[in-house]
Amino acid sequence: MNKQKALLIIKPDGVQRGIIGKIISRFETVGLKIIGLKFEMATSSRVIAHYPETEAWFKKVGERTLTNYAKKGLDAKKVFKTDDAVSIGKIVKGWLVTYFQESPVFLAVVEGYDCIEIVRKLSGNTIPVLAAPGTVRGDFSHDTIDLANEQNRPLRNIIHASDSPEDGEKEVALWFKPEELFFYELAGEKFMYK
Amino acid sequence: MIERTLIILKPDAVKRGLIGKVIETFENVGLKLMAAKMLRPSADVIKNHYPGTPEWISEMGEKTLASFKQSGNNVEETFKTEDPSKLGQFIYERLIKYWMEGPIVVMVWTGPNAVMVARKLRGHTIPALAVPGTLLAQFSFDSSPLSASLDRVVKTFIHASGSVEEAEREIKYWFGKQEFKDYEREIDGLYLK
Repeated sequence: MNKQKALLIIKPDGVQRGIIGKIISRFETVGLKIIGLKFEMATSSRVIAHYPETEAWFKKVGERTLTNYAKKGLDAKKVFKTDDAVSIGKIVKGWLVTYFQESPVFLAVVEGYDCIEIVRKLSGNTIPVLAAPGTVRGDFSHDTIDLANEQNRPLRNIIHASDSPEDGEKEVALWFKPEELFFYELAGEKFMYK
Repeated sequence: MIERTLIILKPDAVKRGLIGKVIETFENVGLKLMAAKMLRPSADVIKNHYPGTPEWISEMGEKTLASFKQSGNNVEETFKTEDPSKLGQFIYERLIKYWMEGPIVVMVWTGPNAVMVARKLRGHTIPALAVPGTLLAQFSFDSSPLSASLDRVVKTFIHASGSVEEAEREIKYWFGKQEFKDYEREIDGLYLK
């Protein structure tokens, strides 16, 4: 089994609410290694590149939004001035870019065996209201899709964690230069892995 | 009133997974994070973090003499000298060696009396003398006699600037021309407005 890398981003709601340390501690405690970190205001171009720019992705996001609005009897056309899924996907992405830039974000690269699965598990369901207790999103938020839709804003879910080993590599390369990553042994590493 | 202070987590803090705990402590008290980065500086970069003047070196020697005296240990036996400047030079070199044990984390925090508040929460430089509730007391037992018996410096795993002037000098040293864009926090409305 190979070591994987994952990117964690504590988004503006996590920074604003003063829970960076509590969140980072959870990943340190489980035995993942922080091999790089920074705190910065995300540039628009980085956030845009962070999410896919494909037609398929916009369509997926747009269709999901349309379904959610319809389920709640909310008028998507009134909010988005269109009912085209791709156009709505692009508007939602714009919300995400705005959300990411409300204040600086805290970025950390973590490394470990099965790292992706572990960061997904610890972060919890991307919809906070559905996230289990003991997860970052379950413990520190209760936001719902309905509430976000009603207020025409993206879901506030505190943390981003890479979704797959490929995303992990891609996102780490997007936000960090190779010289911003470090290799060292954790105290206790031998007892975890050797 | 609003000050900035420089915090450095040394290699043992990083290896022990204490980054989150330290950040949490400063967040809880209401200080605001302005910058953070991980890095592995060269010996020269570490050396120049300190004033490094002859006065400063010999002051460090005097401190070592005093702490040995206090704990009833013999300086001459350990260091083969009682000369403060030679002692200081020796400690200086060991200090650099300590910093090079792994990557470090450098941060800038801001808030009312940030320098004093960060120092208070960190606690006494020597963990064994730090008061319970402070970070150094909670996470370390290190002492002068112990470190001397092992030919190393006391592992004060958090550096916190000693004065406003020192903080400004150190921030400039570690972050260069990087600008710190201020940001509003809702919590600041409770205390700073």
